[in-house]
Amino acid sequence: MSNFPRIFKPRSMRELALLYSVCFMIATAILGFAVYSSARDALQQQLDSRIMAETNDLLSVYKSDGMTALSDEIVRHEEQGGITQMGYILTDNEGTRVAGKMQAKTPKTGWSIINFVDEDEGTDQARAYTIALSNGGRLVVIADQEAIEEIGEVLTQQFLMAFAAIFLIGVGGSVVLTRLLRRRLSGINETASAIIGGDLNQRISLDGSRGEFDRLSQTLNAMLDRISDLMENLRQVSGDIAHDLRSPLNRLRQNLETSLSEKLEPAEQRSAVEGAIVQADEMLDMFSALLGISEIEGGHIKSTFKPQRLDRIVAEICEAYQPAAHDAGFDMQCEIEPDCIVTGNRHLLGQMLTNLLDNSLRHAPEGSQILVQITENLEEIDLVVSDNGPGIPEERQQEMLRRFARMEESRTTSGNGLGLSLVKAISDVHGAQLALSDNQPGLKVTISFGLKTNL
Amino acid sequence: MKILLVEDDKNTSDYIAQGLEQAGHLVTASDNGPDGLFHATDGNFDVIILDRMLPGMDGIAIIGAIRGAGETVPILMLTARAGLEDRVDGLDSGADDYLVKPFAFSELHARLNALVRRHQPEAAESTLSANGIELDRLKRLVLRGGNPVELQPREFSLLEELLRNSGKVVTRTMLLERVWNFHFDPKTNIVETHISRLRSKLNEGHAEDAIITVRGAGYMIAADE
Repeated sequence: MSNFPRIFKPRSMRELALLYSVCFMIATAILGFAVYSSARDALQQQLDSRIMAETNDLLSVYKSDGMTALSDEIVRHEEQGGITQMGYILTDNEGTRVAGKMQAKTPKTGWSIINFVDEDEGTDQARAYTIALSNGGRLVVIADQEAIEEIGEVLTQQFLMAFAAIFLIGVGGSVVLTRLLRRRLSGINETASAIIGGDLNQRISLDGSRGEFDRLSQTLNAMLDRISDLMENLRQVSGDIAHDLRSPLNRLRQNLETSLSEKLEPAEQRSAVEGAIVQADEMLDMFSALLGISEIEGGHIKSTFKPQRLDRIVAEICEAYQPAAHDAGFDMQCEIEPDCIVTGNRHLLGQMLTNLLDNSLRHAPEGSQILVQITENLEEIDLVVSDNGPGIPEERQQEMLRRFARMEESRTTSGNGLGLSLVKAISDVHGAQLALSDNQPGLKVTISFGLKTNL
Repeated sequence: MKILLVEDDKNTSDYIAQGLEQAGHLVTASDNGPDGLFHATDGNFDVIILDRMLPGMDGIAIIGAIRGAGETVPILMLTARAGLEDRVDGLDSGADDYLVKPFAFSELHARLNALVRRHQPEAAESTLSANGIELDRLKRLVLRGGNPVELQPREFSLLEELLRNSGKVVTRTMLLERVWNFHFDPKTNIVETHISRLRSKLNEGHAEDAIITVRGAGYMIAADE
């Protein structure tokens, strides 16, 4: 587009309308010229064939009755007069004029345009056909072109009037079109201004016609919805960061304050400082997790992706977790199909599973069952982690994938609400589908690696 | 041991140097790349601590130059980001270990000890022993006080790691990396569980605890006197 001259990139309605009018006028001019020239051609042809017919008439007189009869015939024709009057010149073999009143020189044989002297108008142009006679003389039949010129003039005049009318309609139309479009766009403009002004809930009104303007409005409204979602998310996340930082900072401050007290035994003082370090570590962990999610979402990690034996990664983690799960009173089982290969990063895939297991171990009550499965079919490899703990109600499942989302509104229990967001980010960067579902009871997390996209 | 510390952040540098000096090490601190490289090629250090981001010269470029000069001194790289790419870059470029900032001093210290220990040639022996515990890598045998102890493969690796660093603390993160190859931090106490199983197997019939838990730092098997 950038190579186009500026005229083809109209910047306003007026320019657009003017561009359209100019194009339309050019088209009209081409049409007018075509009509004019074809009309002229047709008339010219008609004139030529009349001259030809007249010539043939006279020639047949000459052939049957001779020169004198031809001369008489020409005089008779000249006397008849009328609108379709033609002019004649007849000369003998020495060039002397025998008949014909036309005041012009004898042209060479064949078609030609000659100048002659008209009694009323002075010198004028005419179409002439000259033929050599068998006795050496010449016969010229001449027709005035005035009729054609007159029709040409009329056509030109009418065309200019039409052109002027089109010009006026074009300019007027562009003004009207501009007004109409402006009125149409002003609705969008007003809404946008209102949103800039701070009223994020404004939407462009729709007329339901499904026309271009309506569809544009719908698209813009959808964009506004998305922006407002993002802003809401941003607001929530920054609020959550502030909230999640405040509590450990508060505890950190309390611990440090306690450690300053002179009444404390050295051991108590030490434990207060240790407590402070734990609080600081908690905050640092949260930032690491946030940075980790951002980095994974950035997608650069994809350059490290290689085919990985998912079954081995999962088996290793299961082996590492089973003793801890058992000691904590859980029944953890792993059902792994062999030879499952996905393209990805070994550490991220491992982290994804450990996050899911950490979640189950944290949220499900003692005695719960945890099942890790890998199943493979022709289209996908599914990694499923399910437990029979409290689960997540269906209407809140999507929400739980967001950063800092937690089941308890009070946000007082341990955990930073980033675990599932990280799982989601890792699943996304591997091109896998993450689905939360009800395990009746409990939570079932399914991560599906599409084989077509992964291999 | 003699340690070269190349770190441009004054606070971090002081914090590390102070801690290491208190632990009885000799620290030379440098706050920029060219100067750090100059010291490193002296060949006088047991271990180098190198920041990934330095003014004047990138940490990875410095490692390249040190290795290019034929120095085999172990290098521990400090990175600011938990980025996996950074880790891969660092280890590929010839660093021997890395540590993500911020870190606990005990973690750094334990890693430096392990690095220097690993760097010594006798580490390739087929048997390890300390405090009455013997481990034969080839025969996959463990004896305590002469009596065989049955271990799971993972417990065996865990014990091997502790014995290799006997007398020094091995942190939870180091064990996760070396024994499980987990370069992330599970919230579940998998290390603690495995240690506790290993411990109970080793302690059967013995009064003295085979594995010392160092609070807030890690685990240790006492070295032979």
